[in-house]
Amino acid sequence: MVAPIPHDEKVPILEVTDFQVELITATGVVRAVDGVDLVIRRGETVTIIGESGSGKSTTAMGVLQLLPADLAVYSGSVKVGGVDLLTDRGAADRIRGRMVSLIPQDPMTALSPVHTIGRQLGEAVKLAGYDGEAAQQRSLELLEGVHIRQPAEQLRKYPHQLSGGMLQRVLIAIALAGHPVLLVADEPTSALDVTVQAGILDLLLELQERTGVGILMITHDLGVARLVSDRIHVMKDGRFVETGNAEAVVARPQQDYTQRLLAAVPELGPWDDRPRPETALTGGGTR
Amino acid sequence: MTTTMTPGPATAPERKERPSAVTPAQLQSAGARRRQRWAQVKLRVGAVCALLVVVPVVLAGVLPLPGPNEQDLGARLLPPLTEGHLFGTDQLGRDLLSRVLYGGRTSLMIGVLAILVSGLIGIALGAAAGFFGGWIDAVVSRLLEAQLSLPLLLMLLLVVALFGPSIPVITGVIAIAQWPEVARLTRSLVLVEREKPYVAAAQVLGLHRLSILSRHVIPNIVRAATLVVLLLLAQAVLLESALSYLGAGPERPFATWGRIIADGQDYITTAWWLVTLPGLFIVLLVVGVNLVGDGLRDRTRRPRRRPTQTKEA
Amino acid sequence: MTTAPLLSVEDLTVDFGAYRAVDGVSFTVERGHTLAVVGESGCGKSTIARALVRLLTPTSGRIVLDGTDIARLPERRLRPLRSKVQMVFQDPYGSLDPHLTAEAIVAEPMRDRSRRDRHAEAARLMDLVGLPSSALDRRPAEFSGGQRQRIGIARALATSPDLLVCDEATSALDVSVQAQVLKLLADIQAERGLTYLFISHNLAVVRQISEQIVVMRSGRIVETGGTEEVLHAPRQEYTRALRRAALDPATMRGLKPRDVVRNLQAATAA
Repeated sequence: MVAPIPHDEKVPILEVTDFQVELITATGVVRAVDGVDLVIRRGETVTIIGESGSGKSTTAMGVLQLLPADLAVYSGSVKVGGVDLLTDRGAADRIRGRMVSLIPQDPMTALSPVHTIGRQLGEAVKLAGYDGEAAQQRSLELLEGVHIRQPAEQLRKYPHQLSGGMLQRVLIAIALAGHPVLLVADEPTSALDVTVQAGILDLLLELQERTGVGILMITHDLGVARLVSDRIHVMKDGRFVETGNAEAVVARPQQDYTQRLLAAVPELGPWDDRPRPETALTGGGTR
Repeated sequence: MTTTMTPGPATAPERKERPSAVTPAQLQSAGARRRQRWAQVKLRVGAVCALLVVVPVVLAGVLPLPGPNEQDLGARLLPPLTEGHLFGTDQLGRDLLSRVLYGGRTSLMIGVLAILVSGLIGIALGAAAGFFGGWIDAVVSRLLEAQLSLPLLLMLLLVVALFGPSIPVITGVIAIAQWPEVARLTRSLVLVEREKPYVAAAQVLGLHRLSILSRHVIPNIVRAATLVVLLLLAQAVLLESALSYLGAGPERPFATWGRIIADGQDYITTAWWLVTLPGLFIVLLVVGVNLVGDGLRDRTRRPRRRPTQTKEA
Repeated sequence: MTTAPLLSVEDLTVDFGAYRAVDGVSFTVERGHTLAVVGESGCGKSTIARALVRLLTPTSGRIVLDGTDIARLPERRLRPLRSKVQMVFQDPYGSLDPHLTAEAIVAEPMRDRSRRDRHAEAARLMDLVGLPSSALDRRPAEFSGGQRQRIGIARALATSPDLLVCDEATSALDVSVQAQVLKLLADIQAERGLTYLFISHNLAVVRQISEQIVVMRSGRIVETGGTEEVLHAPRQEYTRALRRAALDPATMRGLKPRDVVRNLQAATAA
């Protein structure tokens, strides 16, 4: 099973200070991330919420140093477990896939279509230092940890044989292979149906409860943010316009932009979840 | 500068103008800039090479050169840079530069005409096959495949043997050789475009399918398709040269490049210029056209206007 | 006296080879009203939308639009009727022809009118959807997603349709832009008495914009009724599952309320 992560409580898992990302495009330099600060400690989920073009995905990719070297220029500091990735150039490669993992957005395209699940999960497991029989065992453990039934059978399958939700669970399993202390989840449920999404979010919450892993969540969906976060940063045009406790930001937004954003979200309202006497399909359509 | 995060009411960090961290060196070596520069370089170099060939060929009539078929048995096999013969003379005393330029007219004319014909046929058939599918696609695709599987040069030689090496026949034969490639590419482009919602929208509006193809689909793929056609100019010239080298090329009014090379091949060790200089012309043209094609393809487009600003999104 | 509904779908079935995407679906929509069709991916709602605008031909069943069954009409006889039912598409980036100007896109169905007429009409439609007439000669690349969707709506209105099928028309938009477009659609409906069929996977959006709702699963209707009623007190277990899975930030209490999503699925992976 996925073991709890030993961690020095005094050092934050992730400490981002004055982080800036500039992108050199053909038409000029774009400042995608304009000086942001955030901290994630053990067992915390910090969410960056924003609309398209706000810079939230660029922040996540930047933290992981996954942007192309000839496109992005970083400044500020990004400390993972106390080590600054921007000053220690090799550090990012050492910790990516181990201390810090990415859960990508679209499960249907994030896996190689010509390799089996077992092969792809196996790669991640081997990178974490397992070999042979132990690697196989670890793969099965990881799949069980994300609640995939009949894991041995699933290992032999190809991505196109699995549903979106199962693929996302596989991606989470891959992310967990290296015993990460931090998961970066970039819109992990945007491409999924709403019932499937609920399952994935439940899994993430469960993993956090069990192992204390920190999560940096990127999303545009306020419902998702409210559900999974300890703290929320609202991002616009490369900056955080509002920061705070998840409850407070949603219930008592202070900034104009956040208020407008919240006002624009359509409400579902309370509802009655009691089973009703099952009538034959409510017919009659419209009246 | 750190802002301490404490749970509690929401806070907003203060704003300040931040300096850029991009150094001039990084700007220079950035991927996007490099690609742009590279595309410009290719475009310019290609244009120069191609023009080095095309301009003299076009101006052949007004340049002070001896006629291409004027024999001067007293001035045989003169090397290049001799007085009055920039490229030297061949075994019959004919000025090589003049032969190359006048021959080039025919070569280029055949090449341009061939790609025009193959381009039109290829785009039309490829688009129809891709858009309508069904039996049209079946017929066109099978024709395509059949032709692509035949040995090209042998097929061309056969046609020329049957119908004679006149300019219309050679042009036609090269066009027929090239249309499958254009058609295949156009078909793929149209297949992709066909699935886009704006095509469905046109259908819902009630447009006829042919209208949708000609008004919506083709204008959106024509740029990519004509790029390929441009690159085929080089291939057309090479094909014509191959044919005329093998003796199947046009002889009237002027021998084309391939023929000139064929004529000179017996003297390759004694009078290298007879083979090398026409060959160089071919190389310059082919490389030039290909570089121009590459440069056009890789060129990033600057947005002409800023995005529309309205008070609502 | 009751008037006949504008749209009456009866026993609609759509097969793709051996796969039945829509299985005997029936519903009606009153003139001037909005019916929402909701469900998860693969439930058949988009297939119904495409069948209604005849982007595909149903295998069997009737689609009675304003008295005429258009389900299996040959294209020749269908064409003059197409102006009555138009569609707004999901993808703002693919639904406009990139090489045409906004004016050309919006005026497309008016080919048989004079140039001046077309220009005037295009300007009027752009104004109706909240875009300036200076935008007429710009190409889609110069517009934002929300603006492109407005152009798509203007184009759909150009034929003065009776029924507008919105296929996830706001799903690809940011939430603030979505709110504006929904308001625009509501305003246009109020002004012109248009009828909408609104396809969506988002229950909150559907609550805002529709009076009647149809819940679909695997090609069949699971539940129908008034939107407010079905969303507030769903009868069918599947509808309840959908409702439970919809995350409404306003109703959550406490930090990381895992109970909202715990055990929503049987213990398997999706």
